[in-house]
Amino acid sequence: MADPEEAAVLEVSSECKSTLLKKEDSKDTDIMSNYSTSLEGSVVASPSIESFSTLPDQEMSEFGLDTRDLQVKVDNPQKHLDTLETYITFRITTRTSRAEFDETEYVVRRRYNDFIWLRQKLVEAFPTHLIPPLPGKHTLIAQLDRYSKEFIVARMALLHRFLNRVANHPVLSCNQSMKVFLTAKPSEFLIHRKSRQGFLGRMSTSFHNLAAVYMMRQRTQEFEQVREYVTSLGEKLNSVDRISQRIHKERQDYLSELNQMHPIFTLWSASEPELSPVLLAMAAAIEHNTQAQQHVLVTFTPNIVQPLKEYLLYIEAVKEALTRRDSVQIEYELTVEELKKKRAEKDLLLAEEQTSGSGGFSLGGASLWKSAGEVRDDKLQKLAQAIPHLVKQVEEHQDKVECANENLRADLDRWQYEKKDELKKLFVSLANQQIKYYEQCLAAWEEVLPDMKVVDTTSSYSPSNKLQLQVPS
Amino acid sequence: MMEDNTRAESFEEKENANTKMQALKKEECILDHMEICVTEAEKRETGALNIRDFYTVYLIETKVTDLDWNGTLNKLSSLWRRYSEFELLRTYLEVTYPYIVVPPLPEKKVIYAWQKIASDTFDPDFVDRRRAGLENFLLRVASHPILSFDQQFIGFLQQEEGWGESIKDTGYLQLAESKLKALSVSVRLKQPDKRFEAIKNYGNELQNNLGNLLRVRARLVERLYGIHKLHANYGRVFSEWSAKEKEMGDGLQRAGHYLDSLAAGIDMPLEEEELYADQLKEYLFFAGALQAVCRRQEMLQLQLEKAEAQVLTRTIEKDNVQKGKSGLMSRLFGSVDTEEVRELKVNLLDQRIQEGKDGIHSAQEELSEFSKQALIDIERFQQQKISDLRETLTGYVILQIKMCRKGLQTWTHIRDCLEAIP
Repeated sequence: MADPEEAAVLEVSSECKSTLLKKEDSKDTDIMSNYSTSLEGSVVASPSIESFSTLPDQEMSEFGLDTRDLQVKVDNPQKHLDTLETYITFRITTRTSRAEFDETEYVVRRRYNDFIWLRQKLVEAFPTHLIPPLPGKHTLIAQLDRYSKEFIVARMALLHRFLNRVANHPVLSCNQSMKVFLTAKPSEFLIHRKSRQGFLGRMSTSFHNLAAVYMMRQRTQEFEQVREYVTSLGEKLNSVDRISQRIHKERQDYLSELNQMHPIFTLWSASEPELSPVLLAMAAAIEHNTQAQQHVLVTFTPNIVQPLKEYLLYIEAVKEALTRRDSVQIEYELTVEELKKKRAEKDLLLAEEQTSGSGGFSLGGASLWKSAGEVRDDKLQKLAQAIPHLVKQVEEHQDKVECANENLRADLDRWQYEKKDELKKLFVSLANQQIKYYEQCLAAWEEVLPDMKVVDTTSSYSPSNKLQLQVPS
Repeated sequence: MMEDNTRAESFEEKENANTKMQALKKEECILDHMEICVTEAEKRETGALNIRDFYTVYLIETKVTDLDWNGTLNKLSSLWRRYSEFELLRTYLEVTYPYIVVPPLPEKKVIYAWQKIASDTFDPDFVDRRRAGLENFLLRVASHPILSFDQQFIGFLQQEEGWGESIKDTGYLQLAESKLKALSVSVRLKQPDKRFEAIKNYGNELQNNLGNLLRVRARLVERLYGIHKLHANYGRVFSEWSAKEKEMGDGLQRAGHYLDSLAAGIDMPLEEEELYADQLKEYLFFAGALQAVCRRQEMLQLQLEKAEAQVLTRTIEKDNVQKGKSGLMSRLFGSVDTEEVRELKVNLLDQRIQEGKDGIHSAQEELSEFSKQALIDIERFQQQKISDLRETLTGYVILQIKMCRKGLQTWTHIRDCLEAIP
């Protein structure tokens, strides 16, 4: 079923980008008009894309549609042709009543890489929080063409959910990068994008090798359990995904057989004058079944595969957050170790001083230029500085750990609640789809039954009556 | 000239067929008076020296239910027969009643099978389906107004010993061989009977349509089976998962059980559907029997045409002799027939021509009688077919409805379990 829309859905607007850049100095009060040319110039894609303007993000909010003080929407994809590359941007619409925003409404265009930047910034700013996942660059690519309508629509849905999850988060939504993302005009945004990334994000990686030893002990039981649970959940959802794919494949084959079946009845009816109504009725019922099955197949990817995949990404995000928290804990523990070591060293040196006086072989050692006692004194002096510093560090890190734990706990609680809801919704939708399918098929068969049961007055004896007795009830 | 006569008769035949049809409705068959069942099957082995050969026998039980009727039948009988004996019976019937659409036997080898269908002839499922098919065959024959009264058939049902000899004594085997050979040759007729041509074509169409239908259905059912069984995997995952969840645990576990039941519940309906497939298969084979009758008609017509052609040749020959036209040889060698010789030749030819005309006459009668009987039986067959197929397809639809209701119910339960999650 070749859909001409799928081939090249979006209007290419090569003018678009350049006009956006050049208008940086313009004082357009109405941001919408800034984009009017692009919106009018572009072929707004088919109704199905427009319908994503009303994505079911409402379930995210605990308070219902309109009462959130920060509402965001991702829609209206457009293709851009640059000298260097082709890419897609999405329209981000924001409505807010928060004080820190200058206006109440914003419309900007962002591309996928901008989302990646935002997430990276959030991870850097809140390493111990659970940051919602982004669709991978290539997760959907195996199945779909990069510029196909389905791929873009699927990606857009996931971006929309990501942005909403961030917006609904009490802490993440107040982040400066988030604000910039939602509000900055193109040129301003470019400046933010190009600024160098902080170093903090990198720290966790350097500890991993050293911390192999530390990893085993002192992981907080609480978070270990969460990690175990989340890993197990991931496995289960992966299984569900695989099973779904297999079932989907069988359904496709089933559909192709159905498609072969009803023409046979139609053809057969041509050679059977008396049985013709019966055979045509069969053909009709089977054709309806075909349509019902077709519908199941079509809704498979958007309703089952994508939410599942998104959840698997979310599980990865949870694991990442747990790992980052672990890093903070490891850092703290390393500092504690360091302090212990230094204190032990100091104690040892002091003990030496008392036993051996100022000379002789000792830990302090002797060098060409100084006596053992002098070396020892040097060392003690250094330790006298280092130890208080370390003590302070230990305190700071301890605070950090407690803070991280609190943050993560709160986020995990929210996530558990959300997860239950969203997974429940996913499977309920799977069940509903099947219910609808069976209802349609049942209706199709019941409709033709009267046509078949016409009492035959011309038949003579029928041993088929005896046949009926053989059929087990 | 002669052909016109035959054609003119055809209208009459049609009228007769219709009235016969009315009469047929009330016509007797032995099934009106007795019950026949194939109740059991057993595995036996031939006691041959080194090679143990296994075969299956089927128990045929009969009971005369109408006490006022014919006293020559045993009131009760039961005997064992194997598949090959059924085959003998059927061949005999075909040869003896060539104008009848003889009911087919259940398949010798399984066709249009799919995963769950046993194709091994000793598999209990296969044996049971064959048992049912053989019973059906006997019932079909027993409900035929002509076939059911055949002595060999009754002997098959009731004569435990010696049936094999008695059927050989009929000499049908010799006939069978020659007729079989004849049937395999494709025939070109000068003026084929349009009615039988139409019926033959119809038989061909029926065969194609049923064959396609059975083939696609088997594949369809295979997929359906696969889809349902895969849902057991869902069930397993849900069960395992439910153990790890607090609030979701209960709902997931219950849903998991329903998913398992979805997978388990497909076996019965598909078994039932196989019975309908078997009924369609019977008509697939019936189509073959129908075409066989048409070919036999063609053979008889061919026979007639050959006889007519021969008489024509001889008549021309006689003409030539009378006109004094000598053959090429005699012209070459210069001999000319004398009056006497010519008269002798003419007389001989006359004799031959008369013989030939007699031959034509008997061939015509044979053909005419065959065609008449065949058309009657074909009409009977058609009526039966309409009724049977309608019932089969209705049963199939009812089964589909049952399956849909079951699926709907199960998924509704699943949804309810999931929605109950707080």
